[in-house]
Amino acid sequence: MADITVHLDDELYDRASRVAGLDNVSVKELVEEVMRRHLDYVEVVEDFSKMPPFSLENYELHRDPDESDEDYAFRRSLFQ
Amino acid sequence: MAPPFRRGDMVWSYFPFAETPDVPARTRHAVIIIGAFSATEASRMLGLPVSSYGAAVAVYTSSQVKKFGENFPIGIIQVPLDRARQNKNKSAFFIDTRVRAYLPIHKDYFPDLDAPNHGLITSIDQGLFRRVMEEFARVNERAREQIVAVGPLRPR
Repeated sequence: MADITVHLDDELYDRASRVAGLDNVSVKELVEEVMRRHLDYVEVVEDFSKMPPFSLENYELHRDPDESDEDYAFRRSLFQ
Repeated sequence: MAPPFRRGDMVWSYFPFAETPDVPARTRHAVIIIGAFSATEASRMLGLPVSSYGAAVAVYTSSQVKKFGENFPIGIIQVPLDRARQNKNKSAFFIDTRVRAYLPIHKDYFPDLDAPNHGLITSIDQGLFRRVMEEFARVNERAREQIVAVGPLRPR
C-alpha cells in the first residue's frame, strides 16, 4: 500500500466533505473511490474506443438457427 | 466464436447511462437482446479490433411501469404481470425500444458472461419479441429523434 499526501484547496475540500458526508464516508475514501472510477473509465474507453462503431458494414447480424428468412431479413432491416 | 446471445434473450448487463454513454453502469440491469453480431470479413481484413464474442444491440427494460401513466410514448411496450410471469419475471415491466445500447460482448458490459448461462434471465416469448421488433421499426420510421443510443459502439 502506498501512502500519498494530497493538497486540496479549501473550497474543494468543503465540497468533498459535503459529498462524503452524504455517503457516510471519509474524504480519503471519497478520493480513493473517485480515482478508482476514473481509472476504470479510462481503461474501458481505451479498450473499446478502437473497435469500429456499429454499422452493417462492420458487423454481421448473427442468424439464429430457428429463424426464417423473412424474420432474419426484417430483423436485419432494423439496423439499416 | 459464436455469440452467446440469441434474439429475444433477456440478460443482465451494465447498460450505460445516457450521461456517460461509454461507461458501464455500476449496477446490473435487465436488457433484451435484439441482435448479436460478428465482425464482417471486410472489418477483419482491415484489422479492426472486435471483441472475440462480437457485439450486441440491446434495448432497455424497467419495472417502473407507472413512469408513463396511461399514455405510452412510441417505442414503449408494457408487459403486464401475467405476461411478465409467463416470461419468468416477478413483476410487470416495460420495454423501451427507443433506448438502445451498442455494446461489445465483453465482461465489462455483461457481468455474467463467463457464467454457464451468460447471465440469461429468460428468453422472451416469440410474440413479445415480434412486438419488440415492430416497435423498434416504428421508432426508426416515425420517431428517430427520440432514439437514445449508448455504448461505445453506438453509431457515430
